[in-house]
Amino acid sequence: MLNQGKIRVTNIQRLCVNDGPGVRTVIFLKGCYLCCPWCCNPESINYDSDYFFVKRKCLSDSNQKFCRQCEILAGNRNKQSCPIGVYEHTFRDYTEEELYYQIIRDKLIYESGGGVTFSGGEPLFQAASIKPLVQKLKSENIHVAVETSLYAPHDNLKELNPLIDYWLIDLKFQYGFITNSQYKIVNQFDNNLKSVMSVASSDKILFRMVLMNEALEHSVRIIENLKKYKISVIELLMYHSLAENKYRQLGISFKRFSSPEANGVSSFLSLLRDEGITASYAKI
Amino acid sequence: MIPTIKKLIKLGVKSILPSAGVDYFRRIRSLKRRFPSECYYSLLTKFKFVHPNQKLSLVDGYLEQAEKMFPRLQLDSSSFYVYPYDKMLIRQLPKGIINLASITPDYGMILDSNLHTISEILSKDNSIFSKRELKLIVLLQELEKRIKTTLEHQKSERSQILSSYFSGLLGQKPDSLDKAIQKLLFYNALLWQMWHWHNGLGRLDLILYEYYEKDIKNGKIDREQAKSLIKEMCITLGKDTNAKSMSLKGDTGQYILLGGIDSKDQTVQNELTEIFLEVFQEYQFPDPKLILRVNNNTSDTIWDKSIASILTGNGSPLLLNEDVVMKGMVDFGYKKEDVWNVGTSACWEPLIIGKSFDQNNSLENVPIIVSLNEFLSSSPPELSFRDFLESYKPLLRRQILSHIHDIQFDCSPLFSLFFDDCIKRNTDFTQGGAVYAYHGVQVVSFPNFINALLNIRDFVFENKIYSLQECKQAIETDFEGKEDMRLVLLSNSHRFGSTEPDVLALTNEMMAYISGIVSEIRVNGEKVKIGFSSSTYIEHARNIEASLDGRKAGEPFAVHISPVSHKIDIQEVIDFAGALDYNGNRLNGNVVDFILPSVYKKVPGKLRTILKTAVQKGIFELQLNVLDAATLKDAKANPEKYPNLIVRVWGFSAYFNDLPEEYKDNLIKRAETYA
Repeated sequence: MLNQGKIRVTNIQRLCVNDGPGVRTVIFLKGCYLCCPWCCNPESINYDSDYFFVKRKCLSDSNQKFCRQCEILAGNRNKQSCPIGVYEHTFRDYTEEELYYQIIRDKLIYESGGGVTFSGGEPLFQAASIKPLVQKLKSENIHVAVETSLYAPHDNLKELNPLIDYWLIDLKFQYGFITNSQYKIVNQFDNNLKSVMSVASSDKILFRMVLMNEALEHSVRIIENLKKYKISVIELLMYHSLAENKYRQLGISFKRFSSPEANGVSSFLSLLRDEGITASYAKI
Repeated sequence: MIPTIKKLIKLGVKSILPSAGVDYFRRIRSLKRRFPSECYYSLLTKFKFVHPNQKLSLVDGYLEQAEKMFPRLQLDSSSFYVYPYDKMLIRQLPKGIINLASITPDYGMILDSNLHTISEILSKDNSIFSKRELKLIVLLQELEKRIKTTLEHQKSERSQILSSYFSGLLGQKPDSLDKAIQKLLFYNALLWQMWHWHNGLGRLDLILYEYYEKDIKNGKIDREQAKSLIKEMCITLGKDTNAKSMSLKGDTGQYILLGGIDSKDQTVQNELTEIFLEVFQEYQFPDPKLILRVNNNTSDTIWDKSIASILTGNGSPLLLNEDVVMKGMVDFGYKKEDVWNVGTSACWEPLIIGKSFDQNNSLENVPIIVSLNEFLSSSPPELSFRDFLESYKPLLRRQILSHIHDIQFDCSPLFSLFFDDCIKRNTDFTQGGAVYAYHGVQVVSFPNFINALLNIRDFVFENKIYSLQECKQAIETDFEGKEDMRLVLLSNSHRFGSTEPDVLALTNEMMAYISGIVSEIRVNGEKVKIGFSSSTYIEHARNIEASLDGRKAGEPFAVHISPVSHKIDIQEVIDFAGALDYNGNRLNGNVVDFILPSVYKKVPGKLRTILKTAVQKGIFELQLNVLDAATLKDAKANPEKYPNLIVRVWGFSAYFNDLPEEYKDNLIKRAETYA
């Protein structure tokens, strides 16, 4: 159940340069219908409350006076209230005005060709919550982008589709859709993509896909899908394991993939080229 | 144990030797620091000290030393330009006299100067000042002749060209870019020779442009040849970096200032501005360095070329937001008609080129965290944070005032020749001749100080987690057995650099209070400026006990106005710095210093947007490194792999490998914070 009147945000990153045109503020929203095991923002998968437990910070073994008040040592203080920050909330609920205030601080930057990107998680998960904010931003001529897998209810897409200036579509052609058991929905990717493509011109859509070594085994299927959806330009993002620590802190298991090898990438790029698909490959 | 023995030996040596002997050892030690590869025997035999004649006045002593030194200067014939600075010949100052540092003459005036004309003006009166200046002019002319004769006997084509330049170089305005550079370098070298330190070069794109333009128009040189001359000039200036460095190698204060408005309010952005930026991008000099004065009219071409240079990692240029700085200078008392020619004291403290004798770094920095710690040990009131703060302020006031005092500075007949209004007033540069003599002081540990106050407010008075007694004990014991407390203090989300209204309000309140104290006092009869950026954040912190921001004893203080937590990003610090009040006397350098992640290397156009916005938001000055922690760590472990890795330290750039280990560690830590 969504927190009515609030927008649940895991992070706000300013001065981002790889998430749409110009310099942008990226709002990472919480909640996703998918549960991709390579996700680098695992704290944004589940909408519900969770914490990062930063074990190395915990001093409960050292019998410090301060720690004796903690429930871990049978004290009265809730462990999540640890003032050292051993437990960190993964999110903050903002009102529309509060989030608008955060965003508008960089108005000067937006005027130089940048804007705001809603990412996640799946930003369409909170489509109804962010719609008034997006409308407000649009009324002030602020460029708005969305980074989405398009694996979301079609109604959610319809809320935002006419308002969005730029789409970063994160394709899941490596393994298909790996769904989040908490939020099962009917797959409406085809319908959603069709809607976006009918509203946005091709230069307003950037298709992306994370590439890991294992996915290269499915090259043929990936190319078939690209052709099926008439995608002729794609940005491949190199898989990385930088989120491992976050998985550990959330207490969920981490599945490690391998970074693609140069030869494999090169062959894949050449296959794509042969099929008339222009691909770029971005390393972190 | 070892430091104690060392201290005892020092004490023993001091008590046995007469003070002259102690001075002598101090000099040798200072030389060893600047020339670490030289053995003590070599230092003792190669270097010659020219002592002051105690029987003479300060100025006459200066002239006698010049008379002794000028004929003995060894000239380096391998240099593209003649640079009459002999690092082996060292002028000694009389005891108790502080040397002049960080002054920028107006090289435009120097290039225009004609020693014959100046002689004629001086000869019209019979003052002691004029006689002394005339004596110096004779010495300069004799040196000019000696250089000419020496060059005549050398066979190379370049020597013959230079020899021709030295025929009347000091008696006329140069007629080419090459000759103008030679004249500029001649005087610059002599400033160093006379033991004036951190000599700034000033606005060379503005000053040299007329020579460049004339040469291009006459077909004498093309753009590439001009670029080559600028490169050679920089090489000449940088060839004695060791000898010119004060505390760390590279800390020479040799800055070249680009951009900014001219006397007619037009922004200087000419071909030479671009050439300087290109030369720094291509050759990546750590010394000299560039400062760029930016305003709303700075063109995208200049921004892009500056960013290309910054992205090489050489630290040049530092950005100075001239509208904010000039406004602050006028508010303080500099004349509105003078501020177009704002320069800096080597690093970033503003002054007026060609008019200021401002000594902005000569007073010892004030580590204000010390008085806060002292206050905590005096059982302060525990009623409310406001009571606590008001009761503390008198102690802070005493600490600041104890650092500000009159200073007996060296004289400079050489500066007097070229600085307004020395000749008009018949007075030496340091004795009332220069138009401005507003000296300055800096506080160090300001971010730590604000964080300590925020912690006291939040954890002692609001949440009542700790008592002041516990705070006192934590400082005294360096948090021994109180690691949990230290972590609590470090975890406070109210931190210096955050734009939370209460953090900004407290920061501005304390800046205003300190500013008020400084405005009460005079140095050598003139009002004083205060700055909140200090270069001594490592050096000064070594012997200072732990502090309530969570810093342990001896750990470095925070650097300038920079993020001190990974939770405060670069843009927030820019917002924070833009919201600080720099009015009144708060203009003695307020640098935002941050390390840009190397991702920006791929998108220089986007970086331009970020930096231009920072300027629009009202930051004072901005210093950038483009580094990532992994590279720095690798460079520390494998110095041989990174012989050319340059980093910006405080107001200067240096090779990473030349830095002491604690400076390397500090940079790595900061790079990790910003990643």
